[in-house]
Amino acid sequence: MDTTAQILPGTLDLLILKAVSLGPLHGYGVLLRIGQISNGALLIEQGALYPALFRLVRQGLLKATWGTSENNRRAKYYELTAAGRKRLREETEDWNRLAAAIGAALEARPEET
Amino acid sequence: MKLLSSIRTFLAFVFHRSRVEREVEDELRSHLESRAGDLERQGLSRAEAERQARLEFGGYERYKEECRDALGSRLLGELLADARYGLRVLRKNPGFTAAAILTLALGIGANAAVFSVVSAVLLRRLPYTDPDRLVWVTEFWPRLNNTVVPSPDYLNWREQSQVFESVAAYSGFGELNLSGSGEPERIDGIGVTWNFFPMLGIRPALGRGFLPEEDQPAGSPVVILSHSLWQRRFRSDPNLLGKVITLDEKGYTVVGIMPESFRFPGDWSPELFAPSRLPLKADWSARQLAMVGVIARLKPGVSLERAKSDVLTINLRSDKAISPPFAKMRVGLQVRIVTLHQHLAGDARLVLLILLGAVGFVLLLACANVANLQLARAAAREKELAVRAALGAGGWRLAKQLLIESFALAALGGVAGLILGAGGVALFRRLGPHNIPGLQTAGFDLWVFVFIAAITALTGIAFGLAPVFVASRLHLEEALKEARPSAPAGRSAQRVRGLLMVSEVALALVLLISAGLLIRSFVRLTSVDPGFDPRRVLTERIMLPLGKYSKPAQQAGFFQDVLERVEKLPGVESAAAASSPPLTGFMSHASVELEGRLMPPGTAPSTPVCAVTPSYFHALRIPLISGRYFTPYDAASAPFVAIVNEAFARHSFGDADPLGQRIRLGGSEGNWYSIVGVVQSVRHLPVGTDPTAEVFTSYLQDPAPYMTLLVHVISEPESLAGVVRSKVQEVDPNQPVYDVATMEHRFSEAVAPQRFNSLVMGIFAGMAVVLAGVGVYGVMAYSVARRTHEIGIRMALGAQQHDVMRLVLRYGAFLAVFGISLGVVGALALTRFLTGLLYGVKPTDSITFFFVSLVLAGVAFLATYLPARRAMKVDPMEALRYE
Repeated sequence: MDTTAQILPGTLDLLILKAVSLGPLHGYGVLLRIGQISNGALLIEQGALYPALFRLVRQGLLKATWGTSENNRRAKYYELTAAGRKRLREETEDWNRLAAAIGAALEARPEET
Repeated sequence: MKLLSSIRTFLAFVFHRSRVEREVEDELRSHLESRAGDLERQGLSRAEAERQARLEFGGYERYKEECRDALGSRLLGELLADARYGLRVLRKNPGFTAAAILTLALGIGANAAVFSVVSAVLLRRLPYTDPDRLVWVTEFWPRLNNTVVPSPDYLNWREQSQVFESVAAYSGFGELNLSGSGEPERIDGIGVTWNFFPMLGIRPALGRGFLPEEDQPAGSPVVILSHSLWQRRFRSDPNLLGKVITLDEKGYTVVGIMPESFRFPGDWSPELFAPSRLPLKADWSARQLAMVGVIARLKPGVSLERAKSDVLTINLRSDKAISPPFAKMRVGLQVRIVTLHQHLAGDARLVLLILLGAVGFVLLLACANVANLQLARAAAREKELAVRAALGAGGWRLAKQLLIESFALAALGGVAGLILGAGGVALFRRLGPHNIPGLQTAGFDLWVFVFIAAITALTGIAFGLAPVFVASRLHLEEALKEARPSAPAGRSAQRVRGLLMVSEVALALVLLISAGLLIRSFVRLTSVDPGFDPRRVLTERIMLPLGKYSKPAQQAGFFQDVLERVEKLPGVESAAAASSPPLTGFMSHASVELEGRLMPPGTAPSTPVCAVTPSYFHALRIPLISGRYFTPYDAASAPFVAIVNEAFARHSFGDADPLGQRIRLGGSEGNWYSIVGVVQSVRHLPVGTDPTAEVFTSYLQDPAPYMTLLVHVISEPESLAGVVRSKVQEVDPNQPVYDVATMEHRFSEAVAPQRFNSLVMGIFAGMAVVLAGVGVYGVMAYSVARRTHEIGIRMALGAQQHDVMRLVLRYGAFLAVFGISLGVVGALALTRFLTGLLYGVKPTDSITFFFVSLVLAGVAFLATYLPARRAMKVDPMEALRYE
């Protein structure tokens, strides 16, 4: 069985927020962090990360600052804003509710209908 | 927050576009390098790692685009690029660009000019305080077939109305002779109630307004001057306030000067204001009732309907106080209340709306023509578009590109149109008749700019859609192949083109028919026989002040003296005077009774009566039908005589001979006059109305203080104006003459509105025909060019030149006939809006419809014939090799 999964549309933003919530990261770092926290189970096309990052910055959920990376290169670091933290909390709750609901729905047996 | 950051990125993008681009680029690149580095560490070769990193990243350019999108900058970036590209394309096709811009400039310019006038006359608010609550109140008297307000009604409204905040009136103060300090001059004055200026919210620039106690029958004589009069006659003397000026030999104290910007709410500009001095109480039994114009200010929130019923109630109440014969005249009296704005715009409204419609048509034609040009070019660009599509440009992206190109074109056309439009406005102001109030204030205001911007954008969309439509039908493989004589896109474009040509012909026909109707009306109007000969007649008006010339004999003596002097002038053939000659817009009426057919007092019909000197009929060449003209012996001491016109004779005596009959003028105290002659009827204003009954008296027996001098000269009447004036002032140095004009000039002024209408409509129709002609030519020429190959084959297979000619002409004729039929239907539906502007012509006049259709068919034929002839000359060998 395939151990990787395509991520659901709309969940990339949530993953990014989660990844950044653990500490400021540059773009490539976000990718690595997502791979790390999902044990490599989630596949994203790497390029798709950047439009999402820019969108989140524009929505005021992330803050971007230019800094220097570990290998001494100029890099843009992303960190969570207060609004981003709030959104992450809300979306996590929503996701859990949804996941529980879908899970329960899929568990349903014929006699329960 | 979001909005703010959007604005920030947007601004950052506008000002540091390259920096933002570079940063995106940097970030993506740094990602690729980091990834490649990681992969290399995992054991891949450098080249392999870089390739792998790119693969994992996905479409680099696509994501970069999406990043721009996320930054909100992509739209603008594309827009700029497209606009730049569009302008480059336009620059590379100077012929096409010039033709398109010129066409658009014509359409937009004409619209800008007409809309400037519409804006000034119909849209601009009146220059008074809170003008929306100002209304014009009047009464229509069915028995008199006239709209007037007698002063008692006004006084009642002012007293009793619940709906008006204030009610003010003006009454004819008349024209006054201003003498002293320089040449005597006739000044247009008006009497206003003391609350008139305060109600409008206007204060004199210098001095004060009128006081209530000045606005009484016995009030002290005071005046307020217009700014222009103050400047002209008194050199803007600030010490004029409190001084006394002489008007009609009486002294008036100047109490105020109006501001320069003040415009009287009417279609004339009085220069002198005096208190109206209306009675304080409504008195219907007064010997003379002043007629007034009434302007009122509604209380906030009061509707016109409510105001009307309020005024009506007051009228009904006051009817009880009116004596029976007069009350009878009030039967069916209607109250009319309209906004002051609407009242002032008056007839101009219809004309302007019609002209606006007409220029709208011209603009549509211009759009159709540019769309046509665009189509022809789109066909030539099919390959370019196909290549772009093959490289991945989406349909929407291509459409946007084409639309932006069109917008760039429209914008250039709009700018050029602005320049043409400014010229157009200047022309309107020069040519426009005086009955369009506020025309002289027309110019480019904010509204005009908004309007031009809007129509420019709409135009861009209108003609920009045609190439987009064609591009959307593009078949890539077909288009990319080498020359194909008729690709599918070509066929649908040809259909669009045919449709454009049909609508162009139809639009042009509607305009041409409208112009034809107006021009025919104008010709009819000016070719009406006025009943006299206006050529070589100079007219000057004189109004004797009654204070100085109180006795009728004095008045007659003055004019006799003047005429004797004028007659002796070299170049003068005859000199005459009359109290109300034609084309002066002035008539004096009297009740006329026939002997043996006396009527109860006050019921005799009122007929125009004109006092004339013996040479009057000769000066105007009015033919005698029977009897005799007046002679110098018809003096005060001789038996009183009268001459009647044909209309009067027919109306009053039928077939009986009027000569020797007696008539009484001016009621029971009037004199009896024997009819000694019958003359041909003349037409009075407005030009074109049928002659009405008229009675002439000898001025020696029935003198009047107001007369018009009519000097028939041997040549060039204008040159004598000054000399005649000097002769008048030899008799009385304080006596001004005014309204100096030749009869021909008066006639030309009288038909100025109609001339303006037909001229402007004619210009628009001319533009329409040229545009339509060019359009038809373009469609046909293009169609022939597209079919060169086909024609070559036909000819190779034995078709004769005339067969080819017929082929092309048949297609053109089909479209033209279709367009003309459509145009006739459109014109039948639309020309009825012209009814109010026509004279002696029905809006569905079949002659106009027929000949105009013929003219347009001729233009269409010519525009088809030229390309057809070219088709005929196609050399089959050439045409086939062309493949």
